[in-house]
This record gives sequence, structure tokens and C-alpha cells, in this order.
Amino acid sequence: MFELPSSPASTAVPDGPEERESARHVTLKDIALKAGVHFTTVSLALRGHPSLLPTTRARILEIAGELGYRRDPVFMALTSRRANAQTPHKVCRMAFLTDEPSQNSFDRASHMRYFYDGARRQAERMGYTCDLMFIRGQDFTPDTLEVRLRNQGYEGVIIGAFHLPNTRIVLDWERYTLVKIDTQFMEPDFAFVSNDQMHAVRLAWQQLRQRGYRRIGMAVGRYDEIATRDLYSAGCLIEQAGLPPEDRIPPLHFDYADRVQEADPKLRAWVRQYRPQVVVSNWSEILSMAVATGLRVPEELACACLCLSDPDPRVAGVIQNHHAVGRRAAEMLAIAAKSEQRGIPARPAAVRIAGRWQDGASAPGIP
Amino acid sequence: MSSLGPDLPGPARLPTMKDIARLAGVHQSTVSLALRDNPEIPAATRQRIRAIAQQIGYHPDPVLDAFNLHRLSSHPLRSAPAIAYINDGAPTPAGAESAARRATYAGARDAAARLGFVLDRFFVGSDGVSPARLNRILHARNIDCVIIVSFSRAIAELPLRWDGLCGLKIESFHVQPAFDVITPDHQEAARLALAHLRRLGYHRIGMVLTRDEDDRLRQLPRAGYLVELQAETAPIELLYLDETKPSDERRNLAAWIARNRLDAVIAPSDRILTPLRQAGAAIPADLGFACLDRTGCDDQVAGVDVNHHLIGANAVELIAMRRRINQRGTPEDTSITFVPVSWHDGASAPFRPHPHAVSAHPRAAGA
Repeated sequence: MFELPSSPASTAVPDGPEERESARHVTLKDIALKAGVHFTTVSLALRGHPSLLPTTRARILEIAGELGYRRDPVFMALTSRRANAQTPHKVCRMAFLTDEPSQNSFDRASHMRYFYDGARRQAERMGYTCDLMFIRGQDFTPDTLEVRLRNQGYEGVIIGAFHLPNTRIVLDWERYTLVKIDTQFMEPDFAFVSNDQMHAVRLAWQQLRQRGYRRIGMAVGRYDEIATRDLYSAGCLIEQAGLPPEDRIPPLHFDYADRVQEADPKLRAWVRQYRPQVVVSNWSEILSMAVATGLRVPEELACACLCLSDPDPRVAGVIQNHHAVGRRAAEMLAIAAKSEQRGIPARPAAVRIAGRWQDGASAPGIP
Repeated sequence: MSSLGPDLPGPARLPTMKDIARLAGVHQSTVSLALRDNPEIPAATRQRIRAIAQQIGYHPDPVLDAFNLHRLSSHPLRSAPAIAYINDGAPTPAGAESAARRATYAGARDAAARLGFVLDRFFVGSDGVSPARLNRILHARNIDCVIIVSFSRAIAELPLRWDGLCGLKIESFHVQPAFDVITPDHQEAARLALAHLRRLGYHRIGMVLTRDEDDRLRQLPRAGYLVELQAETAPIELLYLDETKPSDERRNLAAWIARNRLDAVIAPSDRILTPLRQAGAAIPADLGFACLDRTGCDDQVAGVDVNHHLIGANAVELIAMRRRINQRGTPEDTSITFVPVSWHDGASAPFRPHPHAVSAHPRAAGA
């Protein structure tokens, strides 16, 4: 860093030091007058700017030393604050976009709420704010989104687990730093954070085997496989790889449009054909679906859910850490914003958060 | 609030940390630490102090902030915070290190410099410093950030006093305690390799790896391989190279290639090329080859490029953020950041418009 020539005490200035003390401070303009340059040149010279000739700079510094120029600390503090305040305050607002139609439906979807809570808390911890924004409200169209983000000074945007494929947003991407929660395949391709579905399958598998289950079957939505690029299958394949062939039950896939009433008969037929001791599923209704097969649950057919939001003593399975997903999304956004990474990245990263196992009555283990 | 009448008290003095300290019954330095979320203050105390601060409407004085900033910025180099970058094994001279390891370190170092940190490199394990000694060094040098980098399976745990530390791992899935992990997207690397080899006209693609690699990379390359092979009608065996005696290696490789009628092989590294050639495989005339991490390979080798530099940089950016908000100790939940990979065409896997077989079902096609 640039240092001014030290103490003016030894320089030969007509006025004595006592008199000078009471006089007004030496300013850039005084130096400029004496050096015969413009005061902006003095400013550049004192900051060691490379655009000046070294000889000019040296001459101005010498004059500054002679006159006893010193930076005004209060003024410096203020300008330094003003200059630095730009950085943290410029990108301090994050918007968490949701395509839930209303606050009510948002509140009912506990995982959405947890995503948002996690993001907001982490944002606040980092000195940001994170506001929830509904993009399907009555007063909202895709065009107004851009206007609203811009006018209210949002520069970080979290796309909060949109319901595919009906939602599309278009923004002037270059203005924003973006992170997605889930929705990996919604265009454009941004870094995204999600629960670790492959880990969930593997964790469930290992826990169930520890509890004595040998014939484990997986039933998941085909849509969820597509949305995660087969992460459920990947977990299943890895866990089945070491098993004897007769214990490798092919996964059951529910179709995209299936509701419980369409899925029930499929599950029943699959259970009859392959006789699993336990079924793991990413459907939260899996317990009632298992009961609907007509088998005694859990004695004849146990079950575990891969995506519990909260502990439930009736259901064994993997509790997904939605708060952590939200936290990590806010954190990625802050890091990207800090280094001014905006727009659509060339190759975005994927972040996945592990869930944890929770025992429950639906899979008590085989004695 | 009602109208701002003249009966309201005039502009009172702004509340200060001393006021909070008096109300909370603690010293003002405790208040200062608590408001910065310093972990040395018990969490309950921090919460109580923050609540009081909010109650009396405390906020930092911007002018004082400016002064502090000014004061600190005038001697910024007095103690740049350090990050401990920890490899296992013996210290290796820079020239002898693998290209991947060098790139990771360079990425971390560049990011550290950009963010105002210094990177202190250590080697732990039987040939390096002991954890106990590392603990003392970290304490003595006031280092509070630790990145565990690509540990081998030989070290299962790094027992440091983690309470006041920010920790993070590059790969090293197996190392305890569990921290967030930054890793190349090994699963995607395998999928990408298969997709491109198929595009190039290969149909029977085998994977050779070691149990050690499989465990160290948490089965991710294998998971990607198995998912891509799901639709394969004639199964292809995996070959674990370390499950056979080295003397049988060539024979086993040759037999595996013949038995599975392979036209291409993928492997985590290009170390397999020599044994493959010794086994009589003419590459690329008879057998295409692609490597799942090309770092350090010559240009001829087709395969997946992994951005190790970015991995090192991401780790430093994340740990710097964690330190800033005082998120220390072993975390309750962990994330995995999968850094994206890309494909590189090479002479080892040239385009093959009409390979030995013309369909995905070699038995039928060969008849």
C-alpha cells in the first residue's frame, strides 16, 4: 500500500509548526497550485496511480511532504465506508420464488416451508434478506416478475422447487445470480440443490437389511426418476449388485399421471409377483397403499418412505433435511454473488443433502 | 403508531453495546463477541444478548463502522487468516505430485489469495504430522479452517479439536468426522463416458476398477455405469482388478474382454492402459478406451475432463463463507457438491461407424 512521506516536522516551511497547527489543513488544491498541475493529478499521484509518469508522481509526493499534507481521517473514513458499502449492500436481497398458487397452499406444503425457512435464516446469518415471492398470484405475470425483481433491487434469486412442467420463467438472466432447489431440468441450467435421493435409497436399504429384511423392493414415481436422472434406480442398482439374483426385485414405477387409486392395483400386482418383505417408496402415501394390498402390515408387508418431512412414529423411513437444502441454496447464492458470478453458468454444480433414518412401526424388523 | 407529536421524547442518544451489556449483566466485550456470533459465547447467551439488542433498538453506528474499517484497512496484512490444507501421506516435492493433486491445490491457493487468506499445507499420517501435533500447530498459528483433501482409505478419521474449527472435505467420503464434501461428479463422468462411447459407435462397454477406488469414490462411478446399462439385454460383468493376483492380471483381463465381447473399456484412470495392451488388446484397433478422469493424460486418451482447479477453489470459497458467519464444529447435516465434468474426444476411442456388431444385441446381430 502507498505511504505518504513521513512527518513534516523537518521540512522548512516559513510558518512554525505551532502556527500551522491552527491553520487550515493543507489540501490537494494547495499541492496542485505549487506543482502546477490539476488537483485530480495530485489525487492520482497520492494514490500511486500508474497512469502518471513516475517522475511526476515523485515530484508531487515531494511537494506534498514539504507542505505537510495529511489525509483527513474523518473524510477518509467516510469515503472509505462509502466505497466499501457498495459491495455488501449491492447484492443483499434474495428472492425465493415459489409457484405455489397462494400463501395457504405454500404453508400446507411443509417441505416448501422448510426450504424457505432454511434459506431465509441462512441468508440473514450472512447479512442478506430473503423474501418469499409468489409468481402465480393474480397480480402476477411473467413480465411483472422482472419488473418487480429489478425495482426492488433483488439480485439473488432462488427458484424454490417449482412444480414441473407447468412453470416457466423468463428473466434477463445476466442481471441475476440464481440457484435452483430441485427442478434440475427446468431451463435454463443453473446450479441446484436438492435432497440426496440416491443416498436415501441406499440408507433405507442398509437400515432395512440390518433389521433382517432380505427381499426389499422399490416403488417410485417414473416422473421422479426422470426429474432426478434415475437417482432412485442408481441407489437400488448399487444396493442390489451384491445380492443373490433371487433377491433382486425389479423396481416398480408408477406412471406420471397415477394417483393413489391407479397406483394401488399396480402395487398389489407387483407385490403378488415378487413377494417383497418390505417396499420402499418416495410416495408419502406408501403406508396406506401397503395396507390396501390386503396383506397384513407390517407382518406380511413392511414399508418405508424415502421422503418424510417430519418424524412420524407410524412410518419408518428417511427424513429429508429440507432446511439444510434451503440453507445451502442461500449459501451458494451468497458465494456466487460475492464473486459477481451472474447469468447462466457454463457448467453448473449440483449439491445434494443427505437425509437421516427414522425407525417407525411400519418396518419394525424381522425377529 | 400515533402521530409524532411534540410530546414525544426528543432524539435520544442511540443505544450502545454498553447499554446492552448493562441490561444483560455481561461485559461489553461479551456483547461485541455475541453480536458477531462468536462460538466462545454460549449459544443461549448469544441469543439472549441479540434479543436485548433488538429490544432496545441497537444497530451498529455506521460512522464508527467506517472508522473501524478505515483503521483495519490501513494494516491489512498483519494477520491474514490461514486455511490448513491437509493431504495424507508423505510430503511430496511439487514435481512428483499427480496432476490432479497439483491442480486442486492451485485452485485452492488462487481462491485463498483472492479472498485474503493464506493456504498452509500439511501432510498427516504415518509419514506426516500426527493429529495431536497438528492440533497444536493449528492452535499456535491461530488457524481455524481445515480442508481435508483426497485422503486414501488408510486414514479413517482425523481427530482434531473440531469445536472451534470450520471443516470441509474434498472427496474423502470415508473420513470422519462427516463434513460437507466437494467432489468431481464421478457418477456423471461414467454416464457421460458411456453416452459418448455409444455415440461413437461402441456397444459392449466394460468397466474395470479396483475395490479400493469403488469404496473411496463411494461407488459413484459404478452407480453411473449401472444406470446406463439398465437397458442392456446381455449383461456385462464388471472387473475388479485387485481381486485377482497380479500374475493373473493379463490373463484375467483378456478373458474378461473375450467373455463379454467388449468393444470398449472405461476405467477411473489410464493406469490400466499398459496391462490392457499386455493382455493383447490392440487399442484402439480392437478395443476403444476412455478414462473417467483425464487429468494428466496425454491428448490421445479419450475420456472425461475433471476441473480439479475449480474443486479447490469451491472448497476455499465455501469455507471462507462458513468462517465469516462462524459456522464451526462438526455439522448436523452434510451436503455433497458435485462439480461438473465434460467429455474429451481422443484417439483411444475413435468414431466407429460399423463396429463388429451392428446392433445392441450382438448375439442376434452376429448370427
